[in-house]
Amino acid sequence: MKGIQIKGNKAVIFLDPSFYSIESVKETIENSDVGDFRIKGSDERIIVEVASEKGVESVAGEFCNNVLMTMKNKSEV
Amino acid sequence: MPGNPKNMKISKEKNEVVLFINPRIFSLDVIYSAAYVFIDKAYVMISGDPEKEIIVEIRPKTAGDPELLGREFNNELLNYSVYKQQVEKNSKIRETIIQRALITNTKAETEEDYEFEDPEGIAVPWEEKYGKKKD
Repeated sequence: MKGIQIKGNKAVIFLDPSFYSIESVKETIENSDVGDFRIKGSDERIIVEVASEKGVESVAGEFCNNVLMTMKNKSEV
Repeated sequence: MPGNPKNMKISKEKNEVVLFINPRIFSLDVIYSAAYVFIDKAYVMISGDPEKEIIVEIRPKTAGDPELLGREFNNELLNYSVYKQQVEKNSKIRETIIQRALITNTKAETEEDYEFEDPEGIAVPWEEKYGKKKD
C-alpha cells in the first residue's frame, strides 16, 4: 500500500487529512493496545509511526481500518 | 469474467487492488460506506484528490483474490449510491409521517382536547347516563 512504508519492525503511515480526521487518528491511537504509536502532523499529511515486534504491516493496516471505524462511530462520515 | 473494469489496477505480486473513483459519480460518503463493508476482510486505505479522483487501496487480510475484492467494492459503490438516492427521495415523506404522528399524539394527550364527530347527535356523556363516579 502506498500510504504505508515498512522498515524492519517499524511502519510509517501517511494519511490524507481530506479523508481522515486528526481527532479520530488520536482517538484510535489511545484505544490501540497493539504497537507503539507516534503521531506527526502537518496540514497536508498526518504521519503516524508505529513499531511492533510482530507483524507490523498488519498492525499498520488494521490501524487505518480502525481510524475509519472511529470516524464512523463519531458520525463524522 | 474477461477484462477488468477501467477503474481497477490489480497487483498480484503485492496482493492488492487499487480503485480510482470519480467523486462526481460516487460521493465521499458512499465511498466510506462501501469501505466499511470491507474492513473485516481487507485493509482499506483512502487517498487522492476529493475533487478529482479518489483512490481506494484494498489488500485482503488473508489469502484472497484482490480482483474479486475490487469488483465487489464497485458493486458496493452502486449499492450505497442507490440506497442514498432512495433515502433522499423518501426524506420528505418520512418527515411528513413523523410530523403527523407527533401532531396526533399531542392532540389526544388530554381528555378535554379529545374531539370526535357525532353527526346524529346521539352521544350521551358517561356521567349523564350512569351518574357521577363515586369516590
